[in-house]
Amino acid sequence: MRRILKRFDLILSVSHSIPYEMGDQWINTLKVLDPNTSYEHIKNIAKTNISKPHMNYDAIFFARLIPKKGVLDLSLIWKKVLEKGVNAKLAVAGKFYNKSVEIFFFKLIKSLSLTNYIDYLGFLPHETLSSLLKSCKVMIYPSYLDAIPMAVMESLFNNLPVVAYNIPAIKFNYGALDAVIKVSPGNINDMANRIVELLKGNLELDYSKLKIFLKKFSSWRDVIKSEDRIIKLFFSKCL
Amino acid sequence: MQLKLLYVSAPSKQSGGSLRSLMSLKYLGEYDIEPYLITYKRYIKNVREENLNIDLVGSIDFIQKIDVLKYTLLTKTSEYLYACRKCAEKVAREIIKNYGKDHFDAVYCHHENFKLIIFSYYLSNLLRIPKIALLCLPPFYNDDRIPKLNFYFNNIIYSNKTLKRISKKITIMSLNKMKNNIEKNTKKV
Repeated sequence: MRRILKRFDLILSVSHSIPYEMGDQWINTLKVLDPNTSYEHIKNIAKTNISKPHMNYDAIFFARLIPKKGVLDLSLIWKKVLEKGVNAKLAVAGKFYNKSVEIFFFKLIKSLSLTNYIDYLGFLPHETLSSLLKSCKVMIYPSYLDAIPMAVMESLFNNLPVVAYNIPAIKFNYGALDAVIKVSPGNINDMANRIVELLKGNLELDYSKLKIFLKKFSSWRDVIKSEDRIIKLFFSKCL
Repeated sequence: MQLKLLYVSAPSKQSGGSLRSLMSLKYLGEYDIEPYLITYKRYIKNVREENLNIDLVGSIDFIQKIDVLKYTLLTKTSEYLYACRKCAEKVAREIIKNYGKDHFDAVYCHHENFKLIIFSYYLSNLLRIPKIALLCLPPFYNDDRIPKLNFYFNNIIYSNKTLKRISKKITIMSLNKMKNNIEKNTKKV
């Protein structure tokens, strides 16, 4: 793969964390998009979709339901949260890509007696997800591998604080934001503590930076414009 | 200057990278870039749902047939590369027949996925045009995190002892041979 990629004439990347994780020699080779993502696709939904039924969950996790996105860490984290005396409910949305993972996920929930505290909602369209995000207090994102997680951006757009593992994708893209609380990867104790603090309202977050941050990511057109700019520059040098 | 790009992607609304592809297809036209799509058949409906008027140049379903092969079965990597090359040859023939050889300016692979990158590489070589890639995730890591994570998760998911043993063997093999095998196969190609 390394050899093949080296033969590409132009390589774009959606996040600064990608060349960083690929190795030092790629840092100058890859051209990073700026802005690199957008929440525009849910912005329009937020405007039109006001009369959706209210669902009562304290926290939410949504992503592709694979172990690398932290789906198996969820039950363990939530068990710790409940042990700290918080009676809270977690919603899990997304699609399982592996039957063994799905079976293990539900087995884990059952063996930890979390059946009444974790609800699996399946894959949700953006409309339903948007209204669900508004009703939650925190988004949990224990992902081990990522580049620029869309789920985090969508939660931030809904003013929902996120607790995530401090992997390069989070550090590079959301490092300066208070609304994204970082804990070291795999540290479920620390993550549970932070979630409890948020649920109890003991953690005060500064949302002033968030508004300025979100302005940059308001349009997909801007993202594609940056993509276009890099491609055109490459061709102008070629000709 | 209007650019005509052979756009290799799997656009949909179901995940971040695929959504990015869909949005890119939607707006690239506004910037004088005309994308011509090469995708899997099941993704065509996603493009139609968005009412995007984009030419479908070729299908890459031929690669999908070897999806059962996982990255960990490294001895099969050469078969993987072979299937991508065959598919690229098929698509290149269709392109030359329908559009001519000089119609497109570049091949643009919109995913970091191994098979799509390899396919785009072959296709651009056959058409003798530049190759561009957009990485939505690192296609490889400079450490052994992936095999370690795979090992950790497989170990807890599979309760069956035999499956655990197989998973362990595969992980050890991938840790030891991953780098060597991929580079050896790439050299062959």
